[in-house]
Amino acid sequence: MKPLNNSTERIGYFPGCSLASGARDYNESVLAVSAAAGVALVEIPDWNCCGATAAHAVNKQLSISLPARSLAIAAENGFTTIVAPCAACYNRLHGVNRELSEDAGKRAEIEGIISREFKGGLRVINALEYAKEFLMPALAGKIKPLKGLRLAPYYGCLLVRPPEVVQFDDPEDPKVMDAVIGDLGAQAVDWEYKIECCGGGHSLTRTDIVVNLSGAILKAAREANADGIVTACPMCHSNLDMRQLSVMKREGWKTGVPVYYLTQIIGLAIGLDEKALGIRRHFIPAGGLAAKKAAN
Amino acid sequence: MARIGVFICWCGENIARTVDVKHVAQEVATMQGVVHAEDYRYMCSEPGQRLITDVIREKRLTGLVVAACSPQMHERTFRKAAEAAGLNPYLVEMANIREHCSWVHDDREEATAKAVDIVRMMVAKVRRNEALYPIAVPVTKRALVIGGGIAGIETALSIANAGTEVMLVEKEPSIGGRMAGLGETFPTLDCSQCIMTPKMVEVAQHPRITLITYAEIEKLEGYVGNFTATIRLKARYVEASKCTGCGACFEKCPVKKVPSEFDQGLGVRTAIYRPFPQAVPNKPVIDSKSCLKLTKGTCGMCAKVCPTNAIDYEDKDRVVTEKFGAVVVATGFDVAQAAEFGEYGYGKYPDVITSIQFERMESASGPTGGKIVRPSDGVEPKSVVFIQCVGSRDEAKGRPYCSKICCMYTAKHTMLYKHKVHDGQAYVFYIDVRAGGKAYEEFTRRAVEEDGAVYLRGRVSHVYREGSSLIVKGVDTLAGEQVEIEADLVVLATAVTPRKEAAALAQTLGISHDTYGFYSEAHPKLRPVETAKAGVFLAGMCQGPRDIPESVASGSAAAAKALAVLSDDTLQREPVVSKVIEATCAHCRSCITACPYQAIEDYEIRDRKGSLIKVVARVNEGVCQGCGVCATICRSKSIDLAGFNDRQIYGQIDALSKH
Amino acid sequence: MAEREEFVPKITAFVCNWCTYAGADLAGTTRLKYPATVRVIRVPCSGRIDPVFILKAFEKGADGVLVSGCHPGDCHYISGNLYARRRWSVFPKLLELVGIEPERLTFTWVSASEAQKWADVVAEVTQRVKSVGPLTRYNEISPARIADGEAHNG
Repeated sequence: MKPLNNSTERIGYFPGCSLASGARDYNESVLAVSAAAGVALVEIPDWNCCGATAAHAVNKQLSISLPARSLAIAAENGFTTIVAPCAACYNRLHGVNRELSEDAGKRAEIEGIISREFKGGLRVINALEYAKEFLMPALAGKIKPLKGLRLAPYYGCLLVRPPEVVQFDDPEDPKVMDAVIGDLGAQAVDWEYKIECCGGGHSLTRTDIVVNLSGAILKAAREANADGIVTACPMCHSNLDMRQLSVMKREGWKTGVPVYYLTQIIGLAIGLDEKALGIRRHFIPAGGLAAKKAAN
Repeated sequence: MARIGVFICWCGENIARTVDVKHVAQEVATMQGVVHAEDYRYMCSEPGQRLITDVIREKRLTGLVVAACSPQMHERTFRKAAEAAGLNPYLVEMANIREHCSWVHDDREEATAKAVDIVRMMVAKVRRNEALYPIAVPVTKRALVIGGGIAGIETALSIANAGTEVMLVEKEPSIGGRMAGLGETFPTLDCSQCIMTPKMVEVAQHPRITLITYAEIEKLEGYVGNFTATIRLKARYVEASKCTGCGACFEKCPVKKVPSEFDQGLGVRTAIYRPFPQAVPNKPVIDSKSCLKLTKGTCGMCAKVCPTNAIDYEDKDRVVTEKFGAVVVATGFDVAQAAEFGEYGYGKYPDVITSIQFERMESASGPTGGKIVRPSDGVEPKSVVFIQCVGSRDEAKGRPYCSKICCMYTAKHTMLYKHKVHDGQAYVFYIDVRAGGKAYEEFTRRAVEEDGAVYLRGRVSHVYREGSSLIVKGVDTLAGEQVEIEADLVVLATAVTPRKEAAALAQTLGISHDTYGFYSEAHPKLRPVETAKAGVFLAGMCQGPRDIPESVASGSAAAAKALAVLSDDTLQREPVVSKVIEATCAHCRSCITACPYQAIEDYEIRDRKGSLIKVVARVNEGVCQGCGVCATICRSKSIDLAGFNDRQIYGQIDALSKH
Repeated sequence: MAEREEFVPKITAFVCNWCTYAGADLAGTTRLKYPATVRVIRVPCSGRIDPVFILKAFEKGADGVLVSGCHPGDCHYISGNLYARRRWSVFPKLLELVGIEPERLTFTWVSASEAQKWADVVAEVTQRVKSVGPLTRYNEISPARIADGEAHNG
C-alpha cells in the first residue's frame, strides 16, 4: 500500500482469515477508502489466524498464543497501531494485547510458546475507531452528505463486549457508529437491535438459530424503515446478508434489506465506485443506494 | 513486701480429677511472695469467696491469685469479692488451670506440672501488679441523634421517654425520612403516613426533644461523655416562630415545576415548599436555587401573601455548637442509580421506573393521587413487569449483597397494583424470594395465590421498545425457556446503597464503614448498634439493608446503649489504659498514629510563664480501649499499658525459666 | 544401653485475650485433647506482643514460642493485629540470623470459635519444636546473662 500523501504513521493492517477470503468485499472497501484517505495502511507480515471462535472454545493457551504471535510480529515491525476490521479478530487481538501487557507471568508463558518476545506498546483498534480517528478526519472535505438515507447501525456482540475487555463505547447503547453515520450526512436509525446477537458462528452448524436471530434483527430494521443496515463485522454481515435469503423465504418478504460495511458507506459518501467497494458481491442486492438517497 | 494469697480450686471434679491440687498448693507455698496457699472445692461459691475475703483481711494480702477456671468466666467475681474485703480488684489475677489444663490433658503428672507453672506465672505477675482505680469521665447528659427517619425518631423518643434530653438533627426540611414517602408498608399494608405521623408529632412536641431540621453536622469533636458538635442550620428564609403553616406562600409561588425530591422526580414542587403535607415541622422553606427572588431579585410573591410576615429573604445559614454525651447515627440510605443498568433502558424509556418511584406513584398522596399510570402517556398499564435484584447480588456492579427489602416490597407492589387495576397482570422476575420475617412468607404467597402475580425465576437481559409497549426479554429457569413479555410499565427494584454523603459523614464523626459504605458496628453479632468509637451508636439503614421493624428495634437498642452512657454524672471506665512517661517521651508520634481509636493526643508541656518546654504524647483515658499497641510501638518505652505492662509480662516469662 | 528420655519441648505462647485465649477456652470446654507443652501468657491484643518478649522467652529456656491473635480484619481493637502481622513478617528473619531455627517460632490466627484449630496448632508446634530438639545454643552463647537471670528470679 503506497501512501498518497505524507502521513507519517504506518497503521498495521490485520485482515484476518475472513477479509482474506469470504469477506473480500470488506477488504476491498477498507483498502479503497484507506487509499482515498491517504492512510498508510500496511499489512502485518506473516500474520496468522487470530484464533477466534474455534481456538478459545477448545484450548485457552492456543487462543492466546495465536493472536500473541501476530502482535509480537507487529511490534517487531515497528507498528504502534493495528486495525482489525473483523470484530472477532479485534476482540481477540485487543483482549490478548491487554492481558499480556498487564500479566507478566502470562506473558512469560506465552513468549515461551511463540518463541518471540512480546514487547507490547501496541494499540489495537476496530473498524469504527479506525473510521472515527483516521478515515473521517482525512476525508472531511470530500464527503457528499448522504442526505435522506436512513441507516441502521448494527454493532453486534464483539465490538462492545465483554465491556471490561474491549472497554469500547457503551456496551448497552453504543454510539460511535451512529456518530460516523451522522457525520456522513445520513440518519442513524434509533432502533432496538443494535447489539442483539446475529447468531455468530452457528451459521453452518445451527443455521436455524442464525435464521431466527438474524431474522429478528432484519425484521426490526424493516420496521424502522431503514434503507440499509451498517455493520463492522464479516460474520454479522454474512449472517444478515447471506442468510437473509432464508429469512425472506420464511417471512415471505419480496425484497430484502441491503447490508453494508461501514467502510462501504464511507466509500459511497466520497463517491467511490460500487464495484471497487465490493458492493456487487453481496447476496442481497445492495447497489443503487445513492439512488435511494435521491428518492427519499 | 509481697503478701500474696493463692487459692486453688478443685472445681468439684473438673480440676481435681486431673490436677493434683494438693501438690499444687504445696509447690505454690514455696513461691516467692506467697504467704498463703490453700485448696478448696468450689472457690466461686459463697463459702469459697468468704474463705478468700477472710484470708485477705487476716493476712493483709497485697495480692491474690485464684487458680481455677478461665478469667473470662470468673475474674469479675473474684475481683468484686476482693474489693469487698478491701483489696484493690486489680491486684487479683486468675490462673486458668481448668479450660487450659485439666480439661485438655489426660496425664495427671503432666497436667499437675503445667498447673504449677501456670500458677507460678500468675504469682509472678501479681507481684508486679499495681492498684488501679476506675477512671471517672464527666458526662454531658444529652444525646444527639443524627437523622430523623423512623430509626432516628424511635431513638429520640426512647431516650426522651427515659428522662434524658435529646437533640434530633435532620438534614431535610421535615423529619420522616424514607418511610414518610411510602404508601403502605409490608406485611400489614398499614398506611405508612398514618402510623408514622403520630410519632413525628410526638417528637416535635416532646418536652425533652429539641428538633432541628434543615441542618447538618459539620464537625464532631471530643469523646464519650463529652462530645461537641458543630451544626449548620441552613437558611430557611421563613421564620419558624411566625409561620403558621397556612400554605398561602406555596399556593401562590409562580415557580411550579421544580422536580420534587420527595416524589422521586415523578412530581413537581414550588420554590417555596413543604416536602409533603404532613411535614413536621409543618413550615415551608425556600429552595434558594429555584427561587426567583433569591436568584434574580424578582417576584417576592410569598412575602406579599404571607399573613404573618414570616418570609425573610435576608436569612443566612447559622452555625452553632452543642454539647452531648452520646451520639446516635441514623442517617438512612439511598438506592442505586438505575441508569447504571443500560440493559433495562431506564432514562431512555419513560415507562421504566424504579420501585421507589412506583411507591410514590401508588401512594395516595403521591404525584398521581395514587393512580398507577404510565409516565409516557398517562394510560393505566395492564401489564406490569417487576424486575428484582437490580444491582443487588451483582458482583459485576460491585454490590454482591442482598438488599433485603425488595422481595417484600415487590410482592407488596404487585398486590397494590392488582387492587387498583383489577384486570392488570403483574410479572416478577426474581432470583429468590426472601421473606424471612414475621408473617412475611404468608404475605408473599398472597401476592401469588390471591392477586395472581406471575413469578418467573430468572434474569432479564434486555428491555426494549416495540411500538408503544416495552418488551422484557428474560428467562424462566424453572421452565427452561426464554420468555418475552410485553409490558406497559417496567419497575426496577434497585439496590439499597449508602447515602452519597455517607463516607464524608463517617469521616466527620470518626466512625468506620465497610467496603460498600455502610457504617460498621463494633461486632457484627454481639454489638450490633455500637461503633468502635465509644459513645457513638448506630440505628437503621445507615448500617445496612433492613426493614422497618428492624430499624425500629435498632433505634431502641441504640437508645438503650446511649442511655447507659448518660446514666450518671460520671462515666466509670476500666483503668486498663495506657500512660505516657512524659520525661522520656520524645514525641515521635508513633503511638499517636498507631492508636486505632485516636486516643492519644499531642500535649504541650509549658512552664509557669507559658513558654513551651516540650511536646509529648498524652493518652486520653476516656477514650483509650487498652489494646497496648502503643506500648509495643514506642521505641523508648515511654508508654505502657496498666494491667499488662512490660514488667508484668516479663515477670510471667521469667517465671517459666528452666534455669 | 540407657534409654534416652524423650524430649518434651517447653513452649511459651503469647495470645490475645479476645480471640485465641477464648478459642483455647473453647477447646477446654469442648474437652479437646492436646499436648501439655504450652504455657499461655495472655495479652489484650496481639499488637501488644513486643518482639523482645519472644527473645526473652527463648532466653529463659523456651524451646519454642507460639504467637497467636485474631484473624486480620477481626481484631477486637480494629487494627492491633495488623501491626502484629507486619512485625511477624520481619522478625523471623532476624531470629534466623541469630541462629534460632525457624521451626521454633510460629505465628497463627486463631479465632474465638476455632477450638479445634488451637488444639491442632499446639500439636503441630509441639511436633515441629520436637524435631529441632531443645534450644541449648542460646544458653551457650550467653551463660553470663543466664546467671544474671537467676539472681533476678530469686
